[in-house]
Amino acid sequence: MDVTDLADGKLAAVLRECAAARFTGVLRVDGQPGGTIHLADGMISACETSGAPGLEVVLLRSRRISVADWDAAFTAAAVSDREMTAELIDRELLGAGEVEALLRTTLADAMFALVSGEVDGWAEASAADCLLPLTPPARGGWLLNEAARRAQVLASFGESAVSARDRVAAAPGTAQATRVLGPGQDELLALADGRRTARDLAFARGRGLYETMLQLTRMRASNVVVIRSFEAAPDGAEDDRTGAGLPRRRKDRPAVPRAAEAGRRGLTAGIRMLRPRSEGSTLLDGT
Amino acid sequence: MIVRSVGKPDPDLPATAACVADEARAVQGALGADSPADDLVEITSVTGSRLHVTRILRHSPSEGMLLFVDLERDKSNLGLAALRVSQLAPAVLA
Repeated sequence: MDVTDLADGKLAAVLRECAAARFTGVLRVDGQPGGTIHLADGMISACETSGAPGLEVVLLRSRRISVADWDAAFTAAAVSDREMTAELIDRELLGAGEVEALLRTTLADAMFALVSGEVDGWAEASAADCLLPLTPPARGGWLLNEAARRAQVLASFGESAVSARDRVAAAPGTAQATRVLGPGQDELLALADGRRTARDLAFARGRGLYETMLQLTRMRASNVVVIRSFEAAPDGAEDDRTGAGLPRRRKDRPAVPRAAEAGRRGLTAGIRMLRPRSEGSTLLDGT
Repeated sequence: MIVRSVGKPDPDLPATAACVADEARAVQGALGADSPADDLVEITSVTGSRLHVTRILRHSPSEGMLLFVDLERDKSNLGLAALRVSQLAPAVLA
């Protein structure tokens, strides 16, 4: 798979132009999931998209940094007008090399999510501050090649490959099986309820989108999980019951008229029972 | 993925890195989750002309990180190379 295979290669061409022009600013990419790319001197310093968790989500959801520590660092950085990454390093919450590695990893993940989705168009957006920029920034070509490599790895699994929008559920009988799961797979299996997509699971665990998709792909190949494609309508007969065998609650399903239920009294009969059986005495307030 | 590389550019490096990561994953899988005391520390592979020393920087199942060092076999000593890489490894993420 080539870079041009991803998002029709249109974004790759734009990023090449930005690199040639040494563009500095923000590029808004419309599409699914879409996002914004921050460029500095033609290179990419950050990418924000709803398709993949950013560094803040990764650090907090994985509990590598506590929320209290993050909030304290954020406040201190804002007050002293410093970069957040410098604050995290000074507080010894992360090492300098670790910050760069994590930023590069999450940036590559965000670009992977962006270019493997649908790109409808792009436009230069107004300049905006980026909380966690990568320093030094990464070359667009490197990020796109990495995205292509990831797509190629997933494609090598054939039909077992999981997309970001696939809904994941435990395979029938997995709970009873004595199979030994790989590292991290038990956590994924516990969260795979048939409603969460691969992207949702990445956010829930504070892990990268690609890493989650790859893990789910391996689990699917081992028949540990099953996938319900995002195009599939969730009204199949097998979906009427939860994993525990209970009837599944559906918001979109019209309620069954109570009068139609066997053995239930009619509405008027019920109201009649609530009425006074005789005229009696009417008690009024103050009497 | 290759987070950062230094030295002479090698077009085969991404594929090599992916293979080394797979190898590390396979060894971790073989060791099992219940043997933290016997965690994988290093992988060394020798080819006709190259000497590869891979140091595990981080063990986390989904966020593992490796330091991969590619050396010329004729000009390197396996034991000394492994020692130096182990000494330098902590500074990579610091």
